[in-house]
Amino acid sequence: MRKTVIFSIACFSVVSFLAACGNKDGKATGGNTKSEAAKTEAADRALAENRAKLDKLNQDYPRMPTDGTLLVNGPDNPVYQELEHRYETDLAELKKNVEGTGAKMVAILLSVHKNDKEDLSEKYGTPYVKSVCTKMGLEYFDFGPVLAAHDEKEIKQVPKDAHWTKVGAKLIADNIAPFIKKYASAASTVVYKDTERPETFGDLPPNDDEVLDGGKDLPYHVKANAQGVRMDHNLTFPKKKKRVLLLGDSGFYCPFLDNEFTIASVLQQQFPDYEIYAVAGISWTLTDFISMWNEKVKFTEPDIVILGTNGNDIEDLFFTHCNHFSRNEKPTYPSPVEEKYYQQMYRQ
Amino acid sequence: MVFNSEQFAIFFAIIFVVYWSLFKYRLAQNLVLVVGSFYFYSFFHYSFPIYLGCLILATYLFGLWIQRTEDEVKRKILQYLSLFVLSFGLIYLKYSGLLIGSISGLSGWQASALHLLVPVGISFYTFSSIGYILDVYRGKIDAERNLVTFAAYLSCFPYLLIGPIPAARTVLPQFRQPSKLTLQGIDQSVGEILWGLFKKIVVADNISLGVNYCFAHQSELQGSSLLLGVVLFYFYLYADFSGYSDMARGLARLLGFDIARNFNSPFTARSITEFWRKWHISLTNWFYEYVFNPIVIGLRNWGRFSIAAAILLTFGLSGIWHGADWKFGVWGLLHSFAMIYEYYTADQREKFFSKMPWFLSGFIGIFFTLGYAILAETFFRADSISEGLEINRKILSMGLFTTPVSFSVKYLKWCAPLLIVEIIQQKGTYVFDMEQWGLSRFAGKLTKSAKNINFVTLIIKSLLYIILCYCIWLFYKRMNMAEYYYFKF
Repeated sequence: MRKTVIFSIACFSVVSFLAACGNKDGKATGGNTKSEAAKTEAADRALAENRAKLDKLNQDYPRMPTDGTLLVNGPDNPVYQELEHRYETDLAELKKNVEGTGAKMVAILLSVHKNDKEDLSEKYGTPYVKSVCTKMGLEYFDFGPVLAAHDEKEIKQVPKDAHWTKVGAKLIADNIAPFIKKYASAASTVVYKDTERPETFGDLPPNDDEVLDGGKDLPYHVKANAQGVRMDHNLTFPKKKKRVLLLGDSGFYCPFLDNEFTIASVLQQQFPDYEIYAVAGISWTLTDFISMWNEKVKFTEPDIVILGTNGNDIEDLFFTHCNHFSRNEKPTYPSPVEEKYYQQMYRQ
Repeated sequence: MVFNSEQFAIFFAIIFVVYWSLFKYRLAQNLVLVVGSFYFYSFFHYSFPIYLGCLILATYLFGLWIQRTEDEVKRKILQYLSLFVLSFGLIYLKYSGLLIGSISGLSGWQASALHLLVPVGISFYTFSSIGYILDVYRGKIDAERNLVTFAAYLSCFPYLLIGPIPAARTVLPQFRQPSKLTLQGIDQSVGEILWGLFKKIVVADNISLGVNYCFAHQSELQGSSLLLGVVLFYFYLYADFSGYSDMARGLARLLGFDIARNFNSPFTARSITEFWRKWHISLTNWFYEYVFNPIVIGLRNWGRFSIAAAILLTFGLSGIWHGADWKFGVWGLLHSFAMIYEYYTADQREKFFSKMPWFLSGFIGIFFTLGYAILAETFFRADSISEGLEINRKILSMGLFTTPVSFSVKYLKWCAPLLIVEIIQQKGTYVFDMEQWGLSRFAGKLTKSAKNINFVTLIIKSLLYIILCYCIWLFYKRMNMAEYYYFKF
């Protein structure tokens, strides 16, 4: 009996400890060489420093303007104009980086036109995004009218949440499909060496397999491959199929939908001769897309990159929003115009 | 304000200090408890303490009135009157929607739904007050003369919301006696609070995501995944509710009260009858004493059928007590059918099992009891009776032999520490009773000196507590804090 009890205590301790450690930030452990260990240590140190700076910024600037706040008096607000300029610069940089690999990039505007309520981000943001795309020769397609033709309750998880339902995701996938067919000849011209590639291509914990619900009582199953991408197999090299990357925010990540119902999965079922995957995150901005592309996702060598964007992405570039949702935890400091606006709005 | 919150930790620390600084004044201590409990309850809604105050006053006055009345007929009338008054709020607030819905469903009468605010814990403290009145009427206890003492007993915050339902005969006298705080009591309390927190934060809150997923996607999932969902729900419910009960017991002991254990390793029950001696014990005892026994006595001329009728009625009522939905009635009836079967086949089963080796009979008993309890529990969690039936149909079909959802192991692993600790300590009087764990004997093998034995035991126990604290701390900030499931009842 005594041995059983002691054995049980040991089991309990080990099980509890491992269960707890195994879930800590979803980080996997593994063996490293000395140089890799040193590199990891340096990266961890830099990350910790950034995190500390970011925490300080978030403490000092805790407030974020909600969508439309910057546009209450029209788009002439100097902060909004600065953000518009930032959007244009970032989009140009992303386009340059993507097209530099030979890949074809197109933009999809995913906002829903609401007829019953004036949406200022939509009203001023969407035309601006379109004009910028036209100016830089980036092909775009506005899904707004297509989405607006459907009942909001059918395509979005309202009232609990405003992200896509299975029907909404399928609708978007069906409308993206023609782009994939249209650019069937697009091909990335870059081939990276194995040594250049990072361990992961996505930000999800590798081999993640869990249920999340975002506190909204909408549980969904997230599975990631060993490369941290929300898909059911690993990307191999040299690639054997054409690759389509969906790069965007939660509109492409599809929270509250199981893997098999996301836009990327629906498209994958329609195009078995392609590898289609989404690298997307909740509240990501163009800044995050650029860092994601440069750090990880360009190494997957996509042939077509479909960028998900919409009118409110401009306001999302406000420094406090960037700091609250930054994917790589790099701090964004306020510009003089933003600082002045913040002081006026939230400190007086 | 729930037990697993920083807010509660501060609240309890203040109450603890003020309470024990008045240790020479029992009445003042009770007053601190009353004020603290009402303050604690007001966090849920400002009107809840008002309802609770009225119930306490009514119970107190009825108790005194019944005690002072000598005429038996008048006493009986008073008893019925008090039961009507005390249960009126519970029936009106909790069950009027169910009654109106059922009547309108059957008659086609178009009734608008009542949107009533149901005080958290109303089922629990109403049952405590009814139990008290019945005990006074039967002469088992004297009515409490001091309103403050009585209010402290009925409103005591550790068990106010979801029990354990305190038996007036054993708990009320403790509010009259000088309270004591011993080192052993503190040690037991810390163990119980930590284990309760571990069950809630580490086990229940982790498992709840898997459970919610399986039930939310029940129409798409196969039998094997649904079985996983209902098994997880069983453990989730156990960890959530028993975790709260453990914390309640630990907190009450820190205030000098000893309240009975509410769960005792129900996974090891070999029959549904035994299961109910191990699951929600305070409620089982309440129903046994105030519902089951009176029915058996009332129907004693019916022979063995009186027992069957009493089981059916008691568990039907117990089901409905849990929630204002007929699905809870189905859950209660399923348990009563099993118990009636066990009652009528007790001799044959005993003869059958006596021929088997003990481990085989034990395994069969535990397997079927656990399986039955888990499948019955489906109705507890499903949105409706039809959904519960559909889930059970899928589980008992060929779909059971398909591959379950891939996250099965991830969530099932949380049940392992729960099972291990609960099974070990089932005979102990409190959580982490080291005698029960055999650690004192183990320490005795290492050293002969009694002082050293105590020291080694202390070290091992401290290590266990550190592991618990670490796990709790790790998950406290990360998890979505799910509300206690029994807050609905």
